[in-house]
Amino acid sequence: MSHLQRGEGGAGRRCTARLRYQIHASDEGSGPARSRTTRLRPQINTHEDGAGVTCNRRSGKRHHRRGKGLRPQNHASEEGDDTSLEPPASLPDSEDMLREILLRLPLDLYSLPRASAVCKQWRGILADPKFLRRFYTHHRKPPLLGFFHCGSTQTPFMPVLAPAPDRITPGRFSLGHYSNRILIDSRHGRVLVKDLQHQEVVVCDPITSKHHRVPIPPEFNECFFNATVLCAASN
Amino acid sequence: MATREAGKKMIMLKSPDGMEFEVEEAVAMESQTIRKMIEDDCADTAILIPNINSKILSRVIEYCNKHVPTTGATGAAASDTVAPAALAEDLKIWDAEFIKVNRATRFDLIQAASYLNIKGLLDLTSQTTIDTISDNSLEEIRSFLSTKNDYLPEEEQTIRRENQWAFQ
Repeated sequence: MSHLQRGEGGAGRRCTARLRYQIHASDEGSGPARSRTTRLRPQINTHEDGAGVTCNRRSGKRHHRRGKGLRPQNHASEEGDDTSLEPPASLPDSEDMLREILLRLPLDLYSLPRASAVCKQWRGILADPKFLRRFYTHHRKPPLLGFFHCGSTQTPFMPVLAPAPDRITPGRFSLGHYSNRILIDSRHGRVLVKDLQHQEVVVCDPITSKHHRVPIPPEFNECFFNATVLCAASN
Repeated sequence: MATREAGKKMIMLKSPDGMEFEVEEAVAMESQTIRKMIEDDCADTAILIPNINSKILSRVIEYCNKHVPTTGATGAAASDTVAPAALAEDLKIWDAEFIKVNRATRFDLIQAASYLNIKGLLDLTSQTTIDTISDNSLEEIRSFLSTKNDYLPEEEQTIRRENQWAFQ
């Protein structure tokens, strides 16, 4: 839950919005999701050429049965990655074990929501705040996805992650449309926008596209003020 | 097992199928679960390791033997003349060979590593499993882990819509 807090010494600080607001995929990358053919890691090649080429690399050299590994650092053994010939083996009926395995999901933007679509049990684990705390502790640091560029009329998202598949395409994240706005703050994956036209501050979560509007208290209307966005729990 | 040189305390581990494994205490203490038993003086005689058969237990001991700090590991790598980086690389290669097992064995190893609380082995086995399925489709993952899709079609739609950004 986000809430606003009046910043210290905010009086007289107008247009202090930085040019760049950084977004971390810190705490909202765990929602449920599903796709018919979705892989945990997207296989969309969005390198500098910008072309969204769907890759399905069946010709991997290291995988003699089903070459599906996109990641060169995948050290899955020849014996261990056989998903076709070996009869399925069930995990022991232990949610603790499943938690241990899912804890090692890659820390990118897509893996958690996509894995949530496998089944309800996975979703339950991946949406559990305790698990998420462990997950982010295990991975230490969330990736820097990009920043918002505060232009004169627009606020485009500028992705920094490269190469694919983690790179976010520009336009994926939007803070909404405003005729007159100031970016005030960014923290915990949220961006705080002051909507001057409607006299509201907007807590934007670009990852979930949720906007939470808060009217500016009347006593603030007559002065310039600063503000910051804080989350009760980072996970 | 062969008798070890004097001065090294030995611990007896027993599997449910009746096999006994005599291992050095330092090796056994790679397992935090066993370490706690030893520190609590609960390991005077043989320690019964429930739910882990002799085949898996022997692999676990093999792993611990290799990963026990300082000397005492099997093989020539644990020499003072080997640089730490080379030693780490040697372990990495050894791990990669060690984990070349079938799926059922790997799952058993995860269960054993989880029960015995051996972080390195848990990391290795779990990470290998995740690496194996990360690039697979959801259907392949379900098949791989014998997991059923228990979402209703409308639930699927809702879930997908909620995180549409992740599927574009």
